[in-house]
Amino acid sequence: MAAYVINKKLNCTIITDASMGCETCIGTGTCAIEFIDKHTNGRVQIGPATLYTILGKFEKEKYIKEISVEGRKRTYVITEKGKDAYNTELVRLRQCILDSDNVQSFNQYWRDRHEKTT
Amino acid sequence: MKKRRKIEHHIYRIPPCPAYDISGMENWLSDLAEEGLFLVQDGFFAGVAAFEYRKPRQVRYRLEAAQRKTGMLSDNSGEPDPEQVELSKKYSWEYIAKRKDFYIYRSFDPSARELNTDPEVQALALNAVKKRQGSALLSSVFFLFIYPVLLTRGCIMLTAINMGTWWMALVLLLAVLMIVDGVRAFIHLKKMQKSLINNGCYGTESDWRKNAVPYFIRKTIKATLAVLLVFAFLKNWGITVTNEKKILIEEYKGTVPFATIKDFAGEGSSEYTLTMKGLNMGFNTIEEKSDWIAPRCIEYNEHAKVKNSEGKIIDGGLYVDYCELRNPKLAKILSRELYRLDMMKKGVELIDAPNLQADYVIAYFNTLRFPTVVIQKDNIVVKAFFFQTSENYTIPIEEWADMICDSLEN
Repeated sequence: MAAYVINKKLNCTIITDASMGCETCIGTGTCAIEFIDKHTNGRVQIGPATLYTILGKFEKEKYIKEISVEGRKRTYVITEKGKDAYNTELVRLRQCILDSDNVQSFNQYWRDRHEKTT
Repeated sequence: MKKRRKIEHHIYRIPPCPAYDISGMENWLSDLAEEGLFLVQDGFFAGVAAFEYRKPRQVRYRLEAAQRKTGMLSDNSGEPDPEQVELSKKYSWEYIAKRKDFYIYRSFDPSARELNTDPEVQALALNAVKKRQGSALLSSVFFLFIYPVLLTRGCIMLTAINMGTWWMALVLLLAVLMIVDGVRAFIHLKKMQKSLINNGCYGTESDWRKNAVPYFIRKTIKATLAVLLVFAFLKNWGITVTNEKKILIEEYKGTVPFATIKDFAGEGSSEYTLTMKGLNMGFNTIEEKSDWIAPRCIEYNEHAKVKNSEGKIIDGGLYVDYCELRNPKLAKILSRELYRLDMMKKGVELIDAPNLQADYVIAYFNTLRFPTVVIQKDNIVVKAFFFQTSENYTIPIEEWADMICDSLEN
């Protein structure tokens, strides 16, 4: 389940790091939702309950950890374990795209060859 | 269901479905909102929901599975994370109340994004509730079945007689209903979780009206049983504390169906006197009770002194538990339980059983080193011990046990 969640959500949440110019800071739940909305042009919308379930799960799995609480706002950072999980998932997703491209090239090759012979 | 009472402009309703029936609860609350009834802030207490009248309108209610325990003693008093409440509010979802393991949110904005946007993550959230339900179920099985059996040392028959067979049956019924409800909740949560993962929806009956009647019947039976049992417990406790059922031997009008100290002295006995009087410790008393499986039970204790025809003084205390059961099979079970219960205590020592005309006889020194005998004869069971303090004469156990055994025939 954790892997699935990473696949679907961790990448979205962690996108906030690099773009915000901060290596490790994920930020608060609010900024995570806003960031995802903005950078996916509203394609990926995360509901508040969904986000907090994921954050809870990530914290339990030690992918992120809470670094500060200001009033009602909690700030999280990604851990080494979280980074590894993210990178592994990123590699897997890139491989998926690569495989898809290869299949398309292969199909094109056979289509061209078929046209030549006929 | 339609009953309503109005106190301080609030309307009170009992939910027609359990908290874990998420879609049922959401639909019920939304349906009431269309009638103009809106759940008030923290509007759930002791299983009753409080509503206020407003202009009817469409509202979406959503139940969110709590990730942590929601009890009063839990972190943050079991309320949701304040940041989450604030964030939800920002997206037009207002936290209203909690019911058991679920937080209730409400949105008046039809365009507000869903509180839960991913069914699989929602299934993950339900897992925490399912785990807690599973633990609660195991605790219930332990405390409602295993612990009482351990506490009574497996003496079911003895417990039934002491407690009253019908009361015990009611307790068992309540325990079974509670376990069944726990199992239903667990299975329902598991099914919902599976459906969320496979189909992206709860996949359960969302029409709360269909399940309302059976739910109310179960709830009413459980509540009635619980009230009855609390009442019975308090009454029984009161009787035990005040020794209300015990009466003095001198005031007892009936006939004791077994041999007593006076009978041990035989014909021609004289100078019979009750001793240990005035100590107000329940000495020389008799308590008679009746139960469905044991129509006549007597708890008898006698401290007396008597002179037999040979002039020998018999002085001591006789304690008898007498039970007439519905049939010899039940008597057989009870006699073994009485013996087993004593044998579990420290310092009990078996002695040669006197040769009596009975179905079952066992003799031992009890924890106080008093000679004790358990006799089963047909449907009658007697446990008796007799300690003697006379300086120059002691009746052997074979004799007094034989007299008790013989008296049972009469």
